[in-house]
Amino acid sequence: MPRRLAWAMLVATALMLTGGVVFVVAAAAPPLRLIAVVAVVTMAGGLVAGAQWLITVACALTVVEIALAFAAGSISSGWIGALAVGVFLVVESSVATLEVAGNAIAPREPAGHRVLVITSTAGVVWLVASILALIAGGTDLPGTFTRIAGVAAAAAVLATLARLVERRRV
Amino acid sequence: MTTYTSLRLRLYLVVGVISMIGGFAVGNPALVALSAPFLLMSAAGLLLARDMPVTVRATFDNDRAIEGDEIHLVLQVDTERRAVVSVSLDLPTGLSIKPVQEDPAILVVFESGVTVWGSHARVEVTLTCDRWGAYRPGWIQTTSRKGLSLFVQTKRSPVDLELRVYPDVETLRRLFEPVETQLGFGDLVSRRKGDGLEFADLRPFVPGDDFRRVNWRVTASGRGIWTNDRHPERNSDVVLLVDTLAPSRRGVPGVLDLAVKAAAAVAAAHLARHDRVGLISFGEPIRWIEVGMGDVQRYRILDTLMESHVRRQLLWRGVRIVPPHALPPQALVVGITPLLDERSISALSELRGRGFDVRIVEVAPEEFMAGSDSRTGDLARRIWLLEREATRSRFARHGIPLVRWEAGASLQAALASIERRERGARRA
Repeated sequence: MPRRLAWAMLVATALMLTGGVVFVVAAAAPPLRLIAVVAVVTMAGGLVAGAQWLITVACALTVVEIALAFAAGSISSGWIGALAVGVFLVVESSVATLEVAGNAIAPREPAGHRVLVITSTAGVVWLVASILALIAGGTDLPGTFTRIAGVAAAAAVLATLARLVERRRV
Repeated sequence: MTTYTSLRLRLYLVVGVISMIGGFAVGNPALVALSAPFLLMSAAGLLLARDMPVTVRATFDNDRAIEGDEIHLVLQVDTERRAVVSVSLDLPTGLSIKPVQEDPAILVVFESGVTVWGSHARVEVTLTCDRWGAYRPGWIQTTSRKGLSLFVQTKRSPVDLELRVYPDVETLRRLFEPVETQLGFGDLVSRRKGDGLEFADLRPFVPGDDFRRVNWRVTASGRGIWTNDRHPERNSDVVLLVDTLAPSRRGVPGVLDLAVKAAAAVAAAHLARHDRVGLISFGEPIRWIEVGMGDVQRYRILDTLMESHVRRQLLWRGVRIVPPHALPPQALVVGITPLLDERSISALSELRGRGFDVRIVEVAPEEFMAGSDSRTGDLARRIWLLEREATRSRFARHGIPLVRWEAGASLQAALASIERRERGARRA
Protein backbone atom coordinates (compact mmCIF):
# COMPACT_ATOMS: atom_id res chain seq x y z
CA MET A 1 0.00 0.00 0.00
CA PRO A 2 1.43 3.44 -0.85
CA ARG A 3 2.65 5.31 2.18
CA ARG A 4 0.49 8.39 1.54
CA LEU A 5 -2.66 6.28 1.30
CA ALA A 6 -1.82 4.41 4.51
CA TRP A 7 -1.17 7.74 6.23
CA ALA A 8 -4.47 9.22 5.03
CA MET A 9 -6.39 6.15 6.17
CA LEU A 10 -4.76 6.27 9.60
CA VAL A 11 -5.50 10.00 9.95
CA ALA A 12 -9.13 9.34 9.12
CA THR A 13 -9.27 6.44 11.59
CA ALA A 14 -7.66 8.46 14.39
CA LEU A 15 -10.02 11.39 13.81
CA MET A 16 -13.07 9.13 13.67
CA LEU A 17 -12.05 7.44 16.91
CA THR A 18 -11.36 10.76 18.66
CA GLY A 19 -14.64 12.17 17.37
CA GLY A 20 -16.44 8.99 18.40
CA VAL A 21 -15.17 9.14 21.99
CA VAL A 22 -15.55 12.89 22.58
CA PHE A 23 -18.96 13.30 20.91
CA VAL A 24 -20.45 10.24 22.65
CA VAL A 25 -19.39 11.83 25.95
CA ALA A 26 -20.60 15.27 24.82
CA ALA A 27 -23.96 13.81 23.81
CA ALA A 28 -24.48 12.80 27.42
CA ALA A 29 -23.34 16.21 28.68
CA PRO A 30 -24.07 18.90 26.03
CA PRO A 31 -22.02 21.69 27.69
CA LEU A 32 -18.89 19.67 26.86
CA ARG A 33 -19.37 20.02 23.10
CA LEU A 34 -16.86 22.86 22.90
CA ILE A 35 -14.16 20.69 24.47
CA ALA A 36 -15.08 17.92 22.04
CA VAL A 37 -14.70 20.22 19.04
CA VAL A 38 -11.40 21.62 20.33
CA ALA A 39 -10.11 18.06 20.96
CA VAL A 40 -10.94 16.92 17.42
CA VAL A 41 -9.47 20.06 15.84
CA THR A 42 -6.31 19.76 17.93
CA MET A 43 -5.97 16.10 17.02
CA ALA A 44 -6.43 16.90 13.33
CA GLY A 45 -3.77 19.61 13.54
CA GLY A 46 -1.40 17.30 15.37
CA LEU A 47 -1.82 14.45 12.89
CA VAL A 48 -1.45 16.61 9.80
CA ALA A 49 1.48 18.64 11.12
CA GLY A 50 3.11 15.64 12.82
CA ALA A 51 3.20 17.65 16.08
CA GLN A 52 3.40 15.29 19.03
CA TRP A 53 2.49 17.96 21.58
CA LEU A 54 -0.81 18.70 19.81
CA ILE A 55 -1.73 15.02 19.91
CA THR A 56 -0.85 14.96 23.61
CA VAL A 57 -3.11 17.98 24.20
CA ALA A 58 -5.96 16.32 22.24
CA CYS A 59 -5.68 13.13 24.32
CA ALA A 60 -5.57 15.18 27.53
CA LEU A 61 -8.68 17.12 26.47
CA THR A 62 -10.47 13.84 25.75
CA VAL A 63 -9.72 12.53 29.22
CA VAL A 64 -10.62 15.88 30.83
CA GLU A 65 -13.96 15.77 29.02
CA ILE A 66 -14.63 12.23 30.26
CA ALA A 67 -13.70 13.29 33.81
CA LEU A 68 -16.02 16.32 33.63
CA ALA A 69 -18.84 14.12 32.33
CA PHE A 70 -18.35 11.72 35.24
CA ALA A 71 -18.20 14.64 37.68
CA ALA A 72 -21.47 15.95 36.30
CA GLY A 73 -22.91 12.46 36.66
CA SER A 74 -24.04 12.33 33.04
CA ILE A 75 -22.21 9.03 32.34
CA SER A 76 -22.55 5.84 34.31
CA SER A 77 -19.60 3.68 35.30
CA GLY A 78 -20.87 0.94 32.98
CA TRP A 79 -19.35 2.88 30.10
CA ILE A 80 -15.84 2.83 31.52
CA GLY A 81 -14.62 -0.28 29.67
CA ALA A 82 -15.76 1.06 26.30
CA LEU A 83 -14.32 4.50 27.02
CA ALA A 84 -10.97 3.02 28.06
CA VAL A 85 -10.80 1.02 24.83
CA GLY A 86 -11.81 4.12 22.85
CA VAL A 87 -9.06 6.22 24.42
CA PHE A 88 -6.57 3.38 23.92
CA LEU A 89 -7.45 3.16 20.20
CA VAL A 90 -7.19 6.95 19.86
CA VAL A 91 -3.66 6.76 21.30
CA GLU A 92 -2.63 3.81 19.12
CA SER A 93 -4.05 5.22 15.88
CA SER A 94 -2.41 8.62 16.39
CA VAL A 95 0.95 6.99 17.22
CA ALA A 96 0.65 4.74 14.15
CA THR A 97 -0.12 7.80 12.00
CA LEU A 98 3.02 9.55 13.16
CA GLU A 99 5.10 6.41 12.64
CA VAL A 100 3.85 5.97 9.08
CA ALA A 101 4.50 9.65 8.37
CA GLY A 102 8.06 9.25 9.67
CA ASN A 103 7.52 11.72 12.51
CA ALA A 104 8.39 9.18 15.20
CA ILE A 105 11.75 7.54 15.82
CA ALA A 106 10.35 4.04 16.28
CA PRO A 107 10.70 1.58 13.40
CA ARG A 108 7.47 0.48 11.75
CA GLU A 109 6.24 -3.01 12.55
CA PRO A 110 4.43 -5.39 10.17
CA ALA A 111 0.81 -4.25 9.93
CA GLY A 112 -0.66 -7.68 10.75
CA HIS A 113 1.50 -8.03 13.85
CA ARG A 114 0.58 -4.54 15.06
CA VAL A 115 -3.14 -5.13 14.53
CA LEU A 116 -2.92 -8.38 16.52
CA VAL A 117 -1.10 -6.66 19.38
CA ILE A 118 -3.56 -3.75 19.44
CA THR A 119 -6.59 -6.05 19.37
CA SER A 120 -5.34 -8.21 22.23
CA THR A 121 -4.23 -5.18 24.27
CA ALA A 122 -7.61 -3.51 23.71
CA GLY A 123 -9.24 -6.61 25.19
CA VAL A 124 -6.98 -6.42 28.23
CA VAL A 125 -7.71 -2.70 28.63
CA TRP A 126 -11.47 -3.33 28.50
CA LEU A 127 -11.17 -6.18 30.98
CA VAL A 128 -9.03 -4.30 33.52
CA ALA A 129 -11.13 -1.12 33.36
CA SER A 130 -14.44 -3.01 33.56
CA ILE A 131 -13.34 -5.25 36.46
CA LEU A 132 -12.04 -2.27 38.44
CA ALA A 133 -15.20 -0.32 37.76
CA LEU A 134 -17.24 -3.34 38.84
CA ILE A 135 -15.23 -3.75 42.06
CA ALA A 136 -15.62 -0.07 42.87
CA GLY A 137 -19.35 -0.55 42.35
CA GLY A 138 -19.85 2.89 40.92
CA THR A 139 -20.09 4.47 44.36
CA ASP A 140 -18.48 7.80 45.16
CA LEU A 141 -15.32 7.82 47.26
CA PRO A 142 -16.28 8.76 50.80
CA GLY A 143 -14.74 11.68 52.66
CA THR A 144 -12.44 14.60 51.85
CA PHE A 145 -9.49 12.91 53.55
CA THR A 146 -9.79 9.87 51.23
CA ARG A 147 -9.84 12.13 48.22
CA ILE A 148 -6.73 14.03 49.35
CA ALA A 149 -4.98 10.72 50.05
CA GLY A 150 -6.00 9.47 46.60
CA VAL A 151 -4.66 12.55 44.86
CA ALA A 152 -1.42 12.21 46.84
CA ALA A 153 -1.21 8.54 45.82
CA ALA A 154 -1.77 9.49 42.17
CA ALA A 155 0.96 12.11 42.44
CA ALA A 156 3.27 9.49 43.97
CA VAL A 157 2.51 7.10 41.10
CA LEU A 158 3.25 9.90 38.66
CA ALA A 159 6.52 10.74 40.40
CA THR A 160 7.59 7.08 40.47
CA LEU A 161 6.80 6.63 36.79
CA ALA A 162 8.57 9.88 35.90
CA ARG A 163 11.63 8.71 37.83
CA LEU A 164 11.57 5.34 36.06
CA VAL A 165 11.26 7.05 32.71
CA GLU A 166 14.20 9.30 33.50
CA ARG A 167 16.30 6.27 34.47
CA ARG A 168 15.47 4.58 31.18
CA ARG A 169 16.57 7.60 29.20
CA VAL A 170 20.32 7.03 29.07
CA MET B 1 23.30 2.90 23.13
CA THR B 2 20.66 5.59 23.66
CA THR B 3 17.12 4.97 24.85
CA TYR B 4 14.25 7.32 24.11
CA THR B 5 10.72 7.33 25.46
CA SER B 6 8.16 6.95 22.71
CA LEU B 7 5.09 9.09 22.12
CA ARG B 8 3.01 6.07 23.14
CA LEU B 9 4.42 6.10 26.69
CA ARG B 10 3.87 9.83 27.02
CA LEU B 11 0.23 9.48 25.93
CA TYR B 12 -0.36 6.51 28.26
CA LEU B 13 1.01 8.55 31.16
CA VAL B 14 -1.00 11.65 30.26
CA VAL B 15 -4.23 9.63 30.01
CA GLY B 16 -3.47 7.57 33.13
CA VAL B 17 -2.37 10.43 35.34
CA ILE B 18 -5.12 12.90 34.36
CA SER B 19 -7.88 10.34 34.82
CA MET B 20 -6.42 9.07 38.09
CA ILE B 21 -5.99 12.53 39.61
CA GLY B 22 -9.39 13.52 38.18
CA GLY B 23 -10.97 10.38 39.68
CA PHE B 24 -9.66 11.13 43.14
CA ALA B 25 -10.34 14.84 42.82
CA VAL B 26 -14.00 14.39 41.87
CA GLY B 27 -14.38 11.30 43.99
CA ASN B 28 -15.34 8.93 41.17
CA PRO B 29 -13.66 5.46 41.18
CA ALA B 30 -14.72 4.85 37.57
CA LEU B 31 -12.10 7.36 36.45
CA VAL B 32 -9.47 5.57 38.52
CA ALA B 33 -10.54 2.39 36.73
CA LEU B 34 -10.05 4.21 33.42
CA SER B 35 -6.51 5.17 34.40
CA ALA B 36 -5.53 1.71 35.63
CA PRO B 37 -4.86 -0.06 32.28
CA PHE B 38 -2.73 2.82 31.00
CA LEU B 39 -0.69 3.08 34.18
CA LEU B 40 -0.33 -0.70 34.34
CA MET B 41 0.92 -0.85 30.76
CA SER B 42 3.37 1.98 31.47
CA ALA B 43 4.67 0.22 34.56
CA ALA B 44 4.96 -3.11 32.71
CA GLY B 45 6.79 -1.43 29.87
CA LEU B 46 9.21 0.21 32.28
CA LEU B 47 9.92 -3.08 34.01
CA LEU B 48 10.36 -5.02 30.75
CA ALA B 49 12.48 -2.41 29.00
CA ARG B 50 15.83 -4.20 28.93
CA ASP B 51 18.53 -3.26 26.45
CA MET B 52 18.46 -5.65 23.50
CA PRO B 53 21.86 -6.17 21.86
CA VAL B 54 21.64 -5.65 18.12
CA THR B 55 24.65 -6.35 15.91
CA VAL B 56 24.85 -5.42 12.27
CA ARG B 57 27.55 -6.47 9.83
CA ALA B 58 27.59 -4.69 6.50
CA THR B 59 29.52 -5.56 3.36
CA PHE B 60 29.30 -4.52 -0.26
CA ASP B 61 29.03 -7.43 -2.69
CA ASN B 62 31.51 -5.58 -4.88
CA ASP B 63 33.84 -2.79 -3.83
CA ARG B 64 34.12 -1.31 -7.33
CA ALA B 65 31.35 -0.16 -9.63
CA ILE B 66 30.69 2.02 -12.62
CA GLU B 67 28.51 5.13 -12.41
CA GLY B 68 24.88 4.10 -12.88
CA ASP B 69 25.48 0.53 -11.67
CA GLU B 70 23.46 -1.11 -8.95
CA ILE B 71 25.33 -2.84 -6.16
CA HIS B 72 24.19 -4.82 -3.15
CA LEU B 73 24.82 -3.91 0.43
CA VAL B 74 24.57 -7.10 2.45
CA LEU B 75 23.32 -6.52 6.00
CA GLN B 76 23.46 -9.26 8.61
CA VAL B 77 21.24 -8.18 11.52
CA ASP B 78 21.42 -10.32 14.67
CA THR B 79 19.18 -9.85 17.70
CA GLU B 80 18.33 -11.91 20.77
CA ARG B 81 14.71 -12.32 19.75
CA ARG B 82 12.54 -11.66 16.74
CA ALA B 83 12.26 -7.90 16.45
CA VAL B 84 11.80 -5.01 14.09
CA VAL B 85 15.12 -3.26 13.55
CA SER B 86 15.55 -0.17 11.50
CA VAL B 87 19.06 0.06 10.01
CA SER B 88 20.22 3.49 8.85
CA LEU B 89 23.42 4.08 7.00
CA ASP B 90 25.51 7.21 6.79
CA LEU B 91 24.96 7.19 3.05
CA PRO B 92 27.11 9.68 1.18
CA THR B 93 25.61 11.86 -1.54
CA GLY B 94 26.06 9.98 -4.79
CA LEU B 95 24.75 6.68 -3.47
CA SER B 96 21.04 6.10 -3.03
CA ILE B 97 18.88 3.23 -1.85
CA LYS B 98 16.56 1.81 -4.47
CA PRO B 99 13.00 2.55 -3.29
CA VAL B 100 11.72 -0.95 -4.07
CA GLN B 101 13.65 -3.86 -2.55
CA GLU B 102 13.06 -7.48 -3.44
CA ASP B 103 14.16 -9.01 -0.14
CA PRO B 104 11.11 -10.33 1.79
CA ALA B 105 12.75 -9.64 5.16
CA ILE B 106 12.74 -5.91 4.39
CA LEU B 107 9.61 -4.25 5.76
CA VAL B 108 10.17 -0.62 4.91
CA VAL B 109 12.64 1.21 2.68
CA PHE B 110 13.45 4.78 3.59
CA GLU B 111 15.91 7.34 2.33
CA SER B 112 18.92 6.22 4.32
CA GLY B 113 18.12 2.64 5.26
CA VAL B 114 15.68 -0.19 5.67
CA THR B 115 13.56 -1.76 8.39
CA VAL B 116 14.19 -5.46 8.90
CA TRP B 117 11.98 -8.03 10.65
CA GLY B 118 13.57 -11.11 12.21
CA SER B 119 16.15 -12.32 14.71
CA HIS B 120 18.97 -13.35 12.35
CA ALA B 121 18.08 -11.54 9.19
CA ARG B 122 20.42 -11.37 6.20
CA VAL B 123 19.15 -8.85 3.71
CA GLU B 124 20.50 -7.46 0.46
CA VAL B 125 19.83 -3.77 -0.07
CA THR B 126 20.19 -2.52 -3.61
CA LEU B 127 22.04 0.76 -3.94
CA THR B 128 22.29 2.87 -7.06
CA CYS B 129 25.61 4.54 -7.81
CA ASP B 130 24.47 7.95 -9.01
CA ARG B 131 27.85 9.65 -9.18
CA TRP B 132 31.50 8.63 -9.39
CA GLY B 133 33.63 8.91 -6.28
CA ALA B 134 35.24 7.06 -3.41
CA TYR B 135 32.59 6.42 -0.78
CA ARG B 136 33.22 5.51 2.83
CA PRO B 137 30.05 5.36 4.93
CA GLY B 138 31.07 6.34 8.44
CA TRP B 139 28.50 4.60 10.63
CA ILE B 140 25.48 2.34 10.86
CA GLN B 141 22.64 3.13 13.24
CA THR B 142 20.13 0.61 14.48
CA THR B 143 16.79 1.58 15.98
CA SER B 144 14.54 -0.93 17.70
CA ARG B 145 11.64 -1.02 20.13
CA LYS B 146 11.68 -2.37 23.65
CA GLY B 147 9.45 -2.48 26.72
CA LEU B 148 6.05 -3.07 25.03
CA SER B 149 7.05 -0.59 22.30
CA LEU B 150 7.10 2.19 24.90
CA PHE B 151 10.82 2.81 24.44
CA VAL B 152 13.08 3.12 21.43
CA GLN B 153 16.74 2.24 21.59
CA THR B 154 19.29 3.45 19.08
CA LYS B 155 22.88 2.44 18.64
CA ARG B 156 25.41 3.95 16.28
CA SER B 157 28.49 1.92 15.34
CA PRO B 158 31.37 2.79 13.03
CA VAL B 159 31.72 0.69 9.87
CA ASP B 160 34.72 -0.07 7.73
CA LEU B 161 33.25 0.06 4.24
CA GLU B 162 34.65 1.43 1.04
CA LEU B 163 33.17 1.62 -2.41
CA ARG B 164 34.77 3.12 -5.48
CA VAL B 165 32.45 4.21 -8.23
CA TYR B 166 34.25 4.89 -11.47
CA PRO B 167 32.90 7.36 -13.98
CA ASP B 168 30.98 5.98 -16.92
CA VAL B 169 33.20 7.14 -19.75
CA GLU B 170 32.91 7.34 -23.49
CA THR B 171 35.06 4.97 -25.52
CA LEU B 172 37.40 7.04 -27.67
CA ARG B 173 38.64 5.71 -30.99
CA ARG B 174 40.74 8.65 -32.17
CA LEU B 175 43.17 10.41 -29.88
CA PHE B 176 45.75 13.15 -29.86
CA GLU B 177 48.76 12.26 -32.02
CA PRO B 178 51.95 13.14 -30.15
CA VAL B 179 54.81 14.85 -31.97
CA GLU B 180 57.38 12.44 -30.55
CA THR B 181 57.13 8.76 -29.81
CA GLN B 182 59.03 6.68 -27.28
CA LEU B 183 61.06 3.50 -27.71
CA GLY B 184 58.43 1.01 -26.58
CA PHE B 185 56.22 -0.91 -28.99
CA GLY B 186 52.79 0.49 -29.52
CA ASP B 187 50.16 1.42 -32.08
CA LEU B 188 51.62 4.77 -33.17
CA VAL B 189 53.54 5.12 -36.39
CA SER B 190 56.81 6.76 -35.46
CA ARG B 191 58.34 9.53 -37.55
CA ARG B 192 61.67 7.74 -37.30
CA LYS B 193 62.70 4.99 -39.67
CA GLY B 194 63.29 1.41 -38.67
CA ASP B 195 61.49 -1.92 -38.54
CA GLY B 196 57.79 -1.63 -39.01
CA LEU B 197 54.89 -2.09 -41.36
CA GLU B 198 54.26 1.44 -42.64
CA PHE B 199 56.27 2.39 -45.74
CA ALA B 200 58.52 5.41 -45.14
CA ASP B 201 61.05 5.87 -47.93
CA LEU B 202 63.41 4.27 -50.47
CA ARG B 203 67.19 4.27 -50.08
CA PRO B 204 70.14 2.54 -51.73
CA PHE B 205 70.99 -0.85 -50.36
CA VAL B 206 73.93 -0.95 -47.92
CA PRO B 207 75.73 -4.07 -46.69
CA GLY B 208 73.98 -5.52 -43.68
CA ASP B 209 70.47 -4.66 -44.91
CA ASP B 210 67.88 -7.40 -44.87
CA PHE B 211 67.36 -8.78 -48.40
CA ARG B 212 63.67 -9.19 -47.66
CA ARG B 213 63.38 -5.40 -47.58
CA VAL B 214 64.81 -4.93 -51.10
CA ASN B 215 62.31 -3.20 -53.38
CA TRP B 216 62.72 -5.39 -56.50
CA ARG B 217 60.42 -3.28 -58.65
CA VAL B 218 62.60 -0.17 -58.26
CA THR B 219 65.82 -2.22 -58.36
CA ALA B 220 64.71 -3.61 -61.76
CA SER B 221 65.02 -0.12 -63.22
CA GLY B 222 68.81 -0.73 -63.26
CA ARG B 223 70.01 2.10 -61.02
CA GLY B 224 71.39 -0.15 -58.28
CA ILE B 225 69.74 -2.04 -55.46
CA TRP B 226 67.07 -0.16 -53.53
CA THR B 227 65.59 -1.04 -50.24
CA ASN B 228 62.43 0.06 -48.39
CA ASP B 229 62.57 2.07 -45.19
CA ARG B 230 59.67 1.70 -42.82
CA HIS B 231 58.25 3.58 -39.84
CA PRO B 232 58.36 1.54 -36.65
CA GLU B 233 55.24 1.23 -34.46
CA ARG B 234 55.95 2.89 -31.17
CA ASN B 235 54.11 4.09 -28.13
CA SER B 236 54.14 7.49 -26.50
CA ASP B 237 54.17 8.98 -23.02
CA VAL B 238 51.02 10.85 -22.16
CA VAL B 239 50.67 12.92 -19.02
CA LEU B 240 47.17 14.06 -18.12
CA LEU B 241 47.15 17.33 -16.23
CA VAL B 242 43.69 17.50 -14.67
CA ASP B 243 42.76 20.86 -13.23
CA THR B 244 40.93 20.15 -9.97
CA LEU B 245 41.23 23.69 -8.66
CA ALA B 246 37.72 24.62 -9.76
CA PRO B 247 35.36 24.74 -6.81
CA SER B 248 32.83 21.95 -6.64
CA ARG B 249 30.08 21.02 -4.24
CA ARG B 250 29.90 17.38 -3.29
CA GLY B 251 27.09 15.60 -5.08
CA VAL B 252 26.39 18.49 -7.44
CA PRO B 253 27.51 18.03 -11.03
CA GLY B 254 30.10 20.58 -12.03
CA VAL B 255 33.21 21.16 -14.08
CA LEU B 256 35.14 18.72 -11.91
CA ASP B 257 32.80 15.91 -13.02
CA LEU B 258 33.42 16.77 -16.65
CA ALA B 259 37.18 17.02 -16.10
CA VAL B 260 37.32 13.66 -14.34
CA LYS B 261 35.19 11.97 -17.00
CA ALA B 262 37.34 13.40 -19.80
CA ALA B 263 40.53 12.34 -18.02
CA ALA B 264 39.22 8.82 -17.43
CA ALA B 265 38.17 8.46 -21.06
CA VAL B 266 41.47 9.79 -22.47
CA ALA B 267 43.53 7.66 -20.07
CA ALA B 268 41.61 4.49 -20.94
CA ALA B 269 41.97 5.09 -24.67
CA HIS B 270 45.71 5.83 -24.51
CA LEU B 271 46.35 2.79 -22.32
CA ALA B 272 44.42 0.65 -24.79
CA ARG B 273 46.81 1.97 -27.46
CA HIS B 274 49.78 0.68 -25.37
CA ASP B 275 50.87 4.21 -24.43
CA ARG B 276 52.38 4.96 -21.08
CA VAL B 277 50.04 7.28 -19.21
CA GLY B 278 50.69 9.38 -16.13
CA LEU B 279 48.58 11.84 -14.18
CA ILE B 280 49.03 15.17 -12.51
CA SER B 281 46.02 16.05 -10.40
CA PHE B 282 46.49 19.80 -10.43
CA GLY B 283 44.68 20.85 -7.30
CA GLU B 284 45.44 21.61 -3.74
CA PRO B 285 47.57 19.63 -3.06
CA ILE B 286 49.10 18.67 -6.40
CA ARG B 287 49.38 14.89 -6.75
CA TRP B 288 50.93 12.87 -9.49
CA ILE B 289 51.35 9.35 -10.78
CA GLU B 290 54.34 8.35 -12.85
CA VAL B 291 53.70 7.12 -16.36
CA GLY B 292 52.87 3.45 -16.66
CA MET B 293 50.96 0.95 -18.74
CA GLY B 294 48.17 -1.56 -18.41
CA ASP B 295 45.02 -2.03 -16.40
CA VAL B 296 46.79 -1.54 -13.09
CA GLN B 297 47.86 1.93 -14.20
CA ARG B 298 44.31 2.66 -15.33
CA TYR B 299 42.95 1.85 -11.90
CA ARG B 300 45.70 3.84 -10.21
CA ILE B 301 44.74 6.87 -12.28
CA LEU B 302 41.04 6.37 -11.63
CA ASP B 303 41.62 5.94 -7.90
CA THR B 304 43.58 9.18 -7.79
CA LEU B 305 40.85 10.96 -9.74
CA MET B 306 38.28 9.64 -7.26
CA GLU B 307 40.01 11.55 -4.50
CA SER B 308 39.94 14.83 -6.43
CA HIS B 309 38.95 17.56 -4.05
CA VAL B 310 40.23 20.95 -2.98
CA ARG B 311 42.06 21.44 0.29
CA ARG B 312 43.36 24.99 0.59
CA GLN B 313 47.12 25.20 1.08
CA LEU B 314 49.18 28.12 2.21
CA LEU B 315 52.22 27.35 0.08
CA TRP B 316 51.65 27.10 -3.65
CA ARG B 317 54.63 25.97 -5.71
CA GLY B 318 52.92 25.25 -8.99
CA VAL B 319 53.94 22.66 -11.52
CA ARG B 320 57.61 22.97 -10.52
CA ILE B 321 56.89 20.67 -7.59
CA VAL B 322 56.25 17.76 -10.01
CA PRO B 323 59.41 15.60 -10.24
CA PRO B 324 61.02 14.98 -13.66
CA HIS B 325 60.13 11.27 -13.71
CA ALA B 326 56.43 12.18 -13.55
CA LEU B 327 56.92 14.40 -16.59
CA PRO B 328 59.20 12.40 -18.91
CA PRO B 329 60.92 14.21 -21.78
CA GLN B 330 58.97 14.34 -25.06
CA ALA B 331 55.78 13.41 -23.27
CA LEU B 332 52.46 14.60 -24.61
CA VAL B 333 50.78 16.71 -21.92
CA VAL B 334 46.99 16.78 -22.15
CA GLY B 335 45.63 19.56 -19.98
CA ILE B 336 41.99 19.08 -18.95
CA THR B 337 40.83 22.33 -17.46
CA PRO B 338 37.83 24.68 -17.25
CA LEU B 339 40.25 27.63 -17.61
CA LEU B 340 38.93 29.15 -14.41
CA ASP B 341 42.09 29.34 -12.36
CA GLU B 342 45.08 31.38 -13.44
CA ARG B 343 47.44 28.90 -11.74
CA SER B 344 46.49 26.06 -14.07
CA ILE B 345 46.58 28.35 -17.12
CA SER B 346 50.11 29.48 -16.16
CA ALA B 347 51.19 25.88 -15.52
CA LEU B 348 50.16 24.78 -19.02
CA SER B 349 51.97 27.77 -20.59
CA GLU B 350 55.03 26.96 -18.48
CA LEU B 351 55.06 23.34 -19.66
CA ARG B 352 54.83 24.50 -23.27
CA GLY B 353 57.74 26.82 -22.55
CA ARG B 354 59.72 23.85 -21.25
CA GLY B 355 59.29 22.17 -24.64
CA PHE B 356 56.47 19.75 -23.90
CA ASP B 357 53.90 18.93 -26.53
CA VAL B 358 50.80 20.37 -24.83
CA ARG B 359 47.13 19.96 -25.87
CA ILE B 360 44.19 21.29 -23.94
CA VAL B 361 40.68 19.97 -23.48
CA GLU B 362 38.63 22.87 -22.15
CA VAL B 363 35.66 21.64 -20.13
CA ALA B 364 33.00 24.29 -20.60
CA PRO B 365 31.99 25.84 -17.26
CA GLU B 366 29.32 28.23 -18.63
CA GLU B 367 26.35 25.97 -18.04
CA PHE B 368 27.26 25.59 -14.37
CA MET B 369 27.34 29.36 -13.82
CA ALA B 370 24.38 31.09 -12.19
CA GLY B 371 22.35 33.20 -14.60
CA SER B 372 21.83 36.91 -14.11
CA ASP B 373 18.77 39.07 -14.73
CA SER B 374 20.45 42.41 -14.20
CA ARG B 375 22.20 44.50 -16.81
CA THR B 376 25.33 44.68 -14.68
CA GLY B 377 25.33 40.89 -14.40
CA ASP B 378 25.05 40.52 -18.16
CA LEU B 379 27.90 42.98 -18.67
CA ALA B 380 30.06 41.09 -16.16
CA ARG B 381 29.34 37.83 -17.95
CA ARG B 382 30.28 39.30 -21.32
CA ILE B 383 33.55 40.65 -19.90
CA TRP B 384 34.26 37.24 -18.37
CA LEU B 385 33.59 35.52 -21.71
CA LEU B 386 35.94 37.99 -23.42
CA GLU B 387 38.64 37.22 -20.87
CA ARG B 388 38.22 33.53 -21.60
CA GLU B 389 38.52 34.20 -25.31
CA ALA B 390 41.72 36.14 -24.62
CA THR B 391 43.07 33.13 -22.69
CA ARG B 392 42.34 30.85 -25.63
CA SER B 393 44.14 33.28 -27.96
CA ARG B 394 47.10 33.24 -25.59
CA PHE B 395 47.31 29.46 -25.89
CA ALA B 396 47.01 29.68 -29.67
CA ARG B 397 49.93 32.14 -29.74
CA HIS B 398 52.00 29.68 -27.69
CA GLY B 399 51.18 26.94 -30.20
CA ILE B 400 48.94 24.99 -27.86
CA PRO B 401 45.93 23.43 -29.60
CA LEU B 402 42.74 23.71 -27.58
CA VAL B 403 39.49 21.85 -27.93
CA ARG B 404 36.31 22.78 -26.11
CA TRP B 405 34.08 20.08 -24.63
CA GLU B 406 30.61 20.80 -23.31
CA ALA B 407 28.53 18.60 -21.02
CA GLY B 408 26.27 16.31 -23.00
CA ALA B 409 28.37 16.57 -26.16
CA SER B 410 30.56 13.78 -27.46
CA LEU B 411 34.18 13.96 -26.36
CA GLN B 412 35.12 11.95 -29.44
CA ALA B 413 33.65 14.65 -31.69
CA ALA B 414 35.54 17.34 -29.80
CA LEU B 415 38.85 15.49 -30.16
CA ALA B 416 38.15 14.85 -33.84
CA SER B 417 37.86 18.60 -34.44
CA ILE B 418 41.39 19.20 -33.13
CA GLU B 419 42.67 16.31 -35.20
CA ARG B 420 41.17 17.84 -38.35
CA ARG B 421 42.84 21.16 -37.56
CA GLU B 422 46.21 19.47 -36.98
CA ARG B 423 45.94 17.55 -40.23
CA GLY B 424 45.18 20.79 -42.07
CA ALA B 425 48.12 22.52 -40.42
CA ARG B 426 50.45 19.63 -41.37
CA ARG B 427 49.29 19.81 -45.01
CA ALA B 428 49.85 23.57 -45.01
